[in-house]
Amino acid sequence: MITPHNVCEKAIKLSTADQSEAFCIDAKMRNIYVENGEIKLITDNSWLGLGVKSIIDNRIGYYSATVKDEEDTENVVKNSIKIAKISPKDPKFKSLPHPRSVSGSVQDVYDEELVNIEVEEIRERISTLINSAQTNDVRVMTGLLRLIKFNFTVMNSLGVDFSHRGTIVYLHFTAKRGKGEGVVKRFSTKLNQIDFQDAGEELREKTLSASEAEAFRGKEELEVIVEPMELQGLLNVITTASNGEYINRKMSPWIGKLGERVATEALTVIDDGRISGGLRSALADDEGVPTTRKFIIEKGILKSYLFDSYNAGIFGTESTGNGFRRGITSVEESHVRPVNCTASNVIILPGNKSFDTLIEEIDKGVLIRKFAYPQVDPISGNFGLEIRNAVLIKDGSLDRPIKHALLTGNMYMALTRITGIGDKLYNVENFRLPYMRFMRLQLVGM
Amino acid sequence: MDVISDIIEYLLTKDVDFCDARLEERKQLNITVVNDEIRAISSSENRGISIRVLVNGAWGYASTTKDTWEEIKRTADMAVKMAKALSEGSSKKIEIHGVVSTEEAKPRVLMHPWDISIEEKLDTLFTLNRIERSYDNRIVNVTSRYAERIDHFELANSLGSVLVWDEVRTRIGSIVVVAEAGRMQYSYFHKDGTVGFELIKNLNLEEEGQKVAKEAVDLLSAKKPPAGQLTVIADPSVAGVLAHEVMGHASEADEIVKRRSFLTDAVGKVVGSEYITMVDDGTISGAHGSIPFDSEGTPASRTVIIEKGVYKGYMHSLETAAIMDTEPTGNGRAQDFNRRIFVRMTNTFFEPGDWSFEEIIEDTKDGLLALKSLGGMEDPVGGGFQTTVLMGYIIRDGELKDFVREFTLSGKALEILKTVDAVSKEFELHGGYCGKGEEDWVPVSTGGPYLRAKILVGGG
Repeated sequence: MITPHNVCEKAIKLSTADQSEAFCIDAKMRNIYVENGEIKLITDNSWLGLGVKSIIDNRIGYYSATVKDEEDTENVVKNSIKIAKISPKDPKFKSLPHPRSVSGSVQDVYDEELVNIEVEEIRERISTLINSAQTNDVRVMTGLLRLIKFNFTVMNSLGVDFSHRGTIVYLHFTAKRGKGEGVVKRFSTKLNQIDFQDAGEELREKTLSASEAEAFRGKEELEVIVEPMELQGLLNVITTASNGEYINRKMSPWIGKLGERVATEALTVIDDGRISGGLRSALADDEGVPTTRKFIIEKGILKSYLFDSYNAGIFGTESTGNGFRRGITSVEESHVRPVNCTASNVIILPGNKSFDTLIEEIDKGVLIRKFAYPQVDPISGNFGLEIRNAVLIKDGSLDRPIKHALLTGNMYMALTRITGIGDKLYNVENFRLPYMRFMRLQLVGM
Repeated sequence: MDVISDIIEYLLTKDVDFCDARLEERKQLNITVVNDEIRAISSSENRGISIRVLVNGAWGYASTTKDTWEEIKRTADMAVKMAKALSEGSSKKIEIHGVVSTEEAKPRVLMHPWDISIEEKLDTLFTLNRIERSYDNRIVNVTSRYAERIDHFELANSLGSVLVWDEVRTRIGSIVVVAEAGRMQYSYFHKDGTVGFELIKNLNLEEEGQKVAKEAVDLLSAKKPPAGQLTVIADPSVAGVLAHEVMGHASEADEIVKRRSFLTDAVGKVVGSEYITMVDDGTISGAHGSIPFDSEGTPASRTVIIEKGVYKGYMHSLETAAIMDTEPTGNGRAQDFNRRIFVRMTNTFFEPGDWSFEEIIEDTKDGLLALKSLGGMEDPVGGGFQTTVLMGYIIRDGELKDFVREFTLSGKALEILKTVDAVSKEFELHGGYCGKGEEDWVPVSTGGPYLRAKILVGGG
């Protein structure tokens, strides 16, 4: 039987390179799509992919392919070596990772039944979501429930040999009422951890709020609370600015700022590759380097950068277990990527303010529920984001819902102006994060 | 091709309303050079078979990367099982119809990337890197990338089509980062298309490299842009975001059949000024979104979406064409063999007009020229438009004056289109990958001429 482990063993054995690394993933994915309130189609996919990195005299080659037999494995190794031989030398490359002791355990990363679940049971759960969303003229427009089961092995010629299996559940539904659209997402490693009733209720509530929103007029500077689903996109600048690749390429504003204040004291951000139920949790990363828990920001002070082995070598340090090929909501083409330096699971420590308190403490503000797309320029930190659903806050209470406004500012600056952090964490992609409140951002009517 | 036809023959014994099978082989090469040093050379080769079955209005899809007949049969059975499980109790019928053909289409490239050595591709990137890095000592990083992607498809369906075709795409680009006194700025360029290495041979690397480096350096001293409802001259990249993200996504017929789009029932209505004609055209030679056939085997076509301000129609897959009783337009596309096929754009743009770029500037008393969009997001429900641009110029009394840094443009697409009063002859298409609902990436291009309109400016 062809397995990721025996494919990798074969690849490393066949390789004549100075150093070689093989990553092989076997995955099954089922996507259930909903259109207009009904399950429209189910896709069932399976694949086995291999990527081999070869190093010959500091020349690096990477080749990947879907594999079905031993001949394909040989072909990947051969092509990887061929590319290494014609590549220019990379003077910055130090070494593939040496084996390190991988010990401990990670909890709740695998759901045995996930992909074998029967269509009837899926239909039942999705119906629960749709029925709880579709009241008061709210209609579910699109939906996706993705179930993935995977196992991979990463092996190198220096002795690294690590295997891991995991599951991913991703849910993304939209609903419409009039000209308002609501969106709900859920991220988990286990199907039973998704509450379909709750997701449907949230979708209904957000859609109703969006449909009642009125265009914002004028221009105001005010305090802003951002809900976790949208905040994650904004806080991605933390993982880019602390990313070893961005540091080495001089593309981060946090170069040379270790030990310095980059945020208000209330903010602590942790990268943890082993958190229970984390979408990227495993004992080692996708290079086979043990994962770690480390502070990126502790009480507002920048404490560490994130490194894969390549960027650690350039920086003169050890990998922090942040070399990944797997995505967050899918593992497709993991074998195609030669390894990215990126965050594992990110935890923003909760603050001491309830959602109600965050609102009550504001005289004049806005609660952001949905941006068109929460994207921040990672180099400058600037953003100008279209608001699709928000609620104005007046004298400590939620006032009227608004849309058609731009929220503008600079995220690096905003991190130094956090005025409140919620006391509850929510799962959004590979982040666990609370509601967060910022002072003095500009809201402009469209 | 025999295997694909055998799958159809096998499925036709399973009491299905429609079925198709598609074999896909994708070979890619990616090279990255950073600051005159190689960062990565990676190549990949992915192969899979995707099988679709339609039963009583419900679809079952299954795919595999293994090609033994036993595994293929298991995959076909799984597609049937999914479709039948979903359609249980349903009597809904979708009568799929389309163009039936038997054809083999070869890509029209002058210099196939496989005929060019890796050394030459590397040399191109090192040259570009050097040109950009030597421009100014405030440049702290230059990352240059080359990518080639060659797709091979074999498709058969129960209508009788048997098709074989290849697509070739080549891409080159650079990002230049500058830093001074704690401030950072950057600029970028990329070129791509359904072309071979002639894309690079025809490129003036010196000119492109120096231009992007100069932009990044000039941005260090650029002024803060004005804000408010302004007369904006949108460059082709900004026009492309408006065409693709707002008007384009809302014109995909799958959004119409479920009445999600703000353009549902819009045919025949005035949605823009008389200067606005917008098209999706998958047949443009060399454009990044061009395809001989879509992922369902329908030949690519030209769909007029808006003509002189009047809304004309939608883009279709086989399914939406059947539901709306019209013809498919060649817009049923899938990211790859693992993903579903649904209505997607190809090359989407506003048609050029009669003005020259200089005439538009000279005719503008007070305004803002918006250059280099950094992207946008679809809004088929609300019709909202938003894009951030990297830079621009303040226009005063018909002349370009102050150079300004990053700002955001936003508004309601229909309101913006109704204010368009000048459209340039100059026209550009910019390639890239489009995701719908945040994923399912397919190669497209967007663009158009320079458009003058009233747009809200903020975020500077």
